[in-house]
Amino acid sequence: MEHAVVPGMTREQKLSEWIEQYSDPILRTCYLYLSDMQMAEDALQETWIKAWKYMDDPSRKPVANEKAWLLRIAVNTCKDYRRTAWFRHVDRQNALEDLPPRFVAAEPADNSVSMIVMDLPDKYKQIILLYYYQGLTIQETGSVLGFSVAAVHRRLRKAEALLKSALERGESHE
Amino acid sequence: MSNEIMKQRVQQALNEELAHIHTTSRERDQLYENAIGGKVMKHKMKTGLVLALVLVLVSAVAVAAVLLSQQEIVEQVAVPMALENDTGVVANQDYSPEQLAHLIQTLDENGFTLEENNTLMQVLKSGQGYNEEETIMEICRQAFGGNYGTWTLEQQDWFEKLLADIGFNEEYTPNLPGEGNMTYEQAEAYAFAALKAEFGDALDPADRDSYILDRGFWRGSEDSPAYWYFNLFPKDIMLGTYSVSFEDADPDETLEVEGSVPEWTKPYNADDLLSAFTRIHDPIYREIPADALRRLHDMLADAKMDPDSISYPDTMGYAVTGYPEPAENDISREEAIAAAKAALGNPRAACSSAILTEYEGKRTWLVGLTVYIRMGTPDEIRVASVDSVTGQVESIREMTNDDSENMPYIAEAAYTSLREGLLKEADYARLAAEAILAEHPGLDLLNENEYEVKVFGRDQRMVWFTTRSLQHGNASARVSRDGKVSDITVDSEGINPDNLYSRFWNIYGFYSVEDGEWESWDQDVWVQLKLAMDPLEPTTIAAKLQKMGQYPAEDSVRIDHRRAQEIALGQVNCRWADVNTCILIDAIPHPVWKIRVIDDSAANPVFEVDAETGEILNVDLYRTEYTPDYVLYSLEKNWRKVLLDEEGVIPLAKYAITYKYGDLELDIPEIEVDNPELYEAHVDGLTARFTALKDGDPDYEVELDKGGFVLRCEEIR
Repeated sequence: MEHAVVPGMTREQKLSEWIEQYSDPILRTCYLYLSDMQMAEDALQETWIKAWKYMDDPSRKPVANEKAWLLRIAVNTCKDYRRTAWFRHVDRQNALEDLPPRFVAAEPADNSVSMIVMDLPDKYKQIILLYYYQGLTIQETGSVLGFSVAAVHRRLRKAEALLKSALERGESHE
Repeated sequence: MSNEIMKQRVQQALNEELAHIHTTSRERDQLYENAIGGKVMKHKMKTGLVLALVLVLVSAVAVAAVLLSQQEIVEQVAVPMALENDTGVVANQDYSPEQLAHLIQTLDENGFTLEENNTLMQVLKSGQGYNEEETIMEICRQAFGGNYGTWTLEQQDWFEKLLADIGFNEEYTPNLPGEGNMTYEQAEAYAFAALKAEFGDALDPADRDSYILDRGFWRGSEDSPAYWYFNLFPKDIMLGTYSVSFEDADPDETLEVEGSVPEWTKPYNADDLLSAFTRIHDPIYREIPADALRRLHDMLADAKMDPDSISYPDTMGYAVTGYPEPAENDISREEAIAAAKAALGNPRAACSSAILTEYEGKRTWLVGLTVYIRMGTPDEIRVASVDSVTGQVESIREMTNDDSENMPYIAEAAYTSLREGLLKEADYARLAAEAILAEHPGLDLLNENEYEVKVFGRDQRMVWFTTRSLQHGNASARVSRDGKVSDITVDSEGINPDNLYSRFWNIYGFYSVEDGEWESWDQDVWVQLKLAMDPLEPTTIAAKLQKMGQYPAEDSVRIDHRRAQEIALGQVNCRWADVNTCILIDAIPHPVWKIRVIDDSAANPVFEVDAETGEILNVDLYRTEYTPDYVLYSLEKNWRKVLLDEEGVIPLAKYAITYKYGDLELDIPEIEVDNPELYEAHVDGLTARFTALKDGDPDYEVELDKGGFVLRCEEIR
């Protein structure tokens, strides 16, 4: 497992490097998870705050590599957001549809991959985002989600089936 | 499709589709800064955008072809945003600064530009959010004019529906007359006829140039009948105020008419003139028109002045200040405002007034500039004097607590000279301190590290010295305008177990008995209270419970106060419920969060939430005027046991009877079973029986267990 800080590099430098390298993929992951741009930005910021706080924490659970660790923080943050009563109360889809178009971040088309992913149930969305989109290995995905490799395999099979079916439907509409 | 191919396809597709989602270098810098500082930006707009909206209202690309009315903006933008704010458990009552900016921008885009001294613009400039209901009310004022009471009944009704939608009111109360009620036209005609009958030709209720008409209809309920009300507020200081109300079903029998025709006889009394003037033209809330000031000035010319009156500096100030029409060689009002703002140099300042004055031959623009600080604290008000010929800013004065609210309208030289010799706030404090020290030497009352000093009042001033130390208590005195001190009170006792708690209140929060609300303490304060109480031997029940209570630090438990409050609020079926007190108390097996939730009931629930598991262990009840405070900071099993040991069965029995059988909506719900004139009490062990002495009143019987909990509470008729 990589250490949070490479010898010779300060914590500040490490954080700065991470932010440069991973902000965009984390932001997009959060957006796909939450379907809301503002919340995704908040989740991104919160991810960096937690990363700063815990990067040297010896008690933190091991992950395969720094990217996987950061994604775990991000995914957990997104999960917390979705658990809040606020999020449950507001029907995100309806809220978006009710606003005039200029108030909505550029929305993916209905048959786009983004929309397909956003529409998936959480447990499959996570797998798609981590394994397919972020390119983590099975082991890395498992360490981020806290699953065994076998559990990841099971979910992956189901997620693949759902995604494949949706993609093929999308192709037939083009 | 193979796994790898799908992986590649998904990655490529998502990256393409989400290419527009990225961070800029500047944003990454901000992310870094915030991460180091631990600050999360909740829905924060991009840097500078909020200010940009204020300084140069952004012209967004208009997507809609049809402009929205203000009413539509409220319905389509303000209300959905308010609903977004609600957690689903409780209704959040405030717009964020970003939401407020968005609303103001929307108004502007649809042709409704707010004046810079409009409350919403002032709040926006200060970088704050604002209460949802007040924001919507302000938009409606702009749309409908006047205030709520001057709107049509249809507009009022529409507004009432909104308030229920956004969670400000628990439910919608219609106020439109229905079938079987008078129509508005009929009610108004009836009201006007009643006023004419009472006051004759002196009053013309239909004269909208002379009077503001404020009206409303209450549809009624099971307990109260429908009624109408009409108020007439004068636009001229010579006119009176009138009101009419009557029940819809029986107007003749229920008619109430109030008011009087003022009898102004010359010479007028200057104080009366100023009072009447201020009722109509309050200098704090809106700019006074120049022609109104001219009229006041003219009327004061022959008025009787009382040099000993507290209003004398103002009445004389208005009498000697002229309010001429601008002439050709005067700079314009706009130029005067611009000069004043430039001289002040605060971009957040808004012009609240600008009036051309003349005093001893000199013409000066007095420009009032207001900076909104934050909700709950006063605005910063400056008054600039601008030479009306040269445009030079001669002075900028800050309005302090020693100044009059009429300062922006009285020529500076006159204002200053008329107030010479008046006691200032610091003088009142000094005189009070000297008088108190003469009786209680050794108190360092004017030392800011020992006491906070506040001066209240207008004619007679109250001076309060609030302690910042546990070692001594508060002091106060009354000081008249001529410097005489009276009504001295001092808490000079040393600290003891029974005043320790009130000393903590002095320092950490003032318990307002009138409002019935606690100034909530952080958990740290309870920890300190416990440490201070430990070596002491209390004698009162409250102090004993404070000593008995163990107040651990918040970071010793899994569930923090925010999560505990969410759990408690989730139990209450009231959208605008709020947490009042929230205290962590040690208990077995786990510490407990004791949380009082204020909802729409007269007796508020007080939850005990396990601070490790989140389970709700108990629900107590609290009612400000009736329940002891220690219910809020003690475990129920503790306060019941102590109360039982100290005072026996009867207080707990009375408590049980009142909460079970009393009408808690009444101001005094108590069933006075402990009153020997009303009940004969008989106690047998842990059972109390109360026999009513008044015919028709029920008897009661209460049985407690050894811990003081109620096993049985019965009403016996």
